[in-house]
Amino acid sequence: MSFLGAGIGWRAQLSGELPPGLVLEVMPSHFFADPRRLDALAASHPLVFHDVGLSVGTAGTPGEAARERVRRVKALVERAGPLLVSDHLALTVSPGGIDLGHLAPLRYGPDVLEVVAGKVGALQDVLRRPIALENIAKPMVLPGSRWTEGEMLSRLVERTGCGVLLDLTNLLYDARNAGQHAARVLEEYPLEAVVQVHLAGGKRTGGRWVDTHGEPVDAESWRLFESLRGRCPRLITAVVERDRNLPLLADLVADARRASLIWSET
Amino acid sequence: MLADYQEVLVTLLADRRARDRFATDPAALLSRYRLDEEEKAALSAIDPGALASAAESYVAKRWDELRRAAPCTLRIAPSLERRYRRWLAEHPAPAEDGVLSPGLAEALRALEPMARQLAEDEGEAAYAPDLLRFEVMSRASRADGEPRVLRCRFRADRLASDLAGDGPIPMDPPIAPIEYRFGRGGS
Repeated sequence: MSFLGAGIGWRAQLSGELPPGLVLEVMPSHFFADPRRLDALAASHPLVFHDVGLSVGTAGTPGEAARERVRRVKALVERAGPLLVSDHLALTVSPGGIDLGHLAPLRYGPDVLEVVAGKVGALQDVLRRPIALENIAKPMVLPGSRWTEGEMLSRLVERTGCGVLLDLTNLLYDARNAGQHAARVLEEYPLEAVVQVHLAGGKRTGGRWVDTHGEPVDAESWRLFESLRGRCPRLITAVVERDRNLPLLADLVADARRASLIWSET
Repeated sequence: MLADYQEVLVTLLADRRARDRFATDPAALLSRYRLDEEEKAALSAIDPGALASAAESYVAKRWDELRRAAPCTLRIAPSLERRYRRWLAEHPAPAEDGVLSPGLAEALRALEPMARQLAEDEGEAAYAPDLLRFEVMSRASRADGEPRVLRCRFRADRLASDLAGDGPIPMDPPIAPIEYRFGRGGS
């Protein structure tokens, strides 16, 4: 599948008419209660699913809540036929069932690789398609990783055939917070496996860069995206993420068009 | 063992009491889990300030989702945020199956503890607990269609309507017992 154009993260609060052909990224959990609400979007726009709660990094056998979530996601995938399904290289739930509600980092090493590869493989079997894993913005550095995140993703791609959702702003802010050069860190990632890109904004708070998804796309994120031209042959879409301080729909669409233009110069 | 390592990590991120114990005597907390020496060393090396900051970020995200479930109550009881944060720090959420958004699911989980706190505080509006229950339960039933019944001392629907805009805050509404039925066929 070739690049289909850029898109935006769909939010119910966005008002206005969505341009035809605009890729929409939806969170499956927003449609668990009423899957029918997805039908109109699926009929008029290419969709990509982006979940937050599959917790592929959690060790051990999935509990009933986790298994039910997979069943719900599968039902929506079969209903709406998204181009991509993704979640994060992270955990949200502990093995004992504590739900953090959001993404926690993993300590990258052989034991975690086995866990994640197993969960990804099982998910891909159930969903009957490859999934993509996103690099998260880490609220803290976990001591003791044997590999970098890029090395971890490369091993996962090799083991499972999964794709990568490369969040350039997460990568950028992690690099800034670690005092690293983002463009150099980018070279560690399996770019040949990148199927989707995220572009977002954030701000510096309490001495750390935080991807708030409440600001315009960071200028350096745009530069990193430009640097990917010609290096991600499997890229299907780039999605502009905005969750708060929502601007006009036209502004988000303009950002998506900018991303499409950048990629079309590849 | 990886599962125990992750259990410790998430517990430290979710439970303030565990963080406090870990800060005082990390070996005592870690001894309760099956961890190899590498895992113990990795956990012990976590920067306490970074851990606290990360934990706060998770609380902030949960609050950001939850507050959208009770905007009117927040107008008359801004203490709700402080109450919720304090309560969450000692009551980590269990993983549960459900169709509600994370914010609404968490609002339901915290509803009775928060309503009780508002009821027990004479400094809060007498109708605050009713309003909170009305907002959260009506939203939850609209989202999942599940039937829910709420008995109130005050006309919470009218109070919610008054508070939805920027109009004046009702100071002394009359007591007018009413039963609300939410969900399919309810109102």
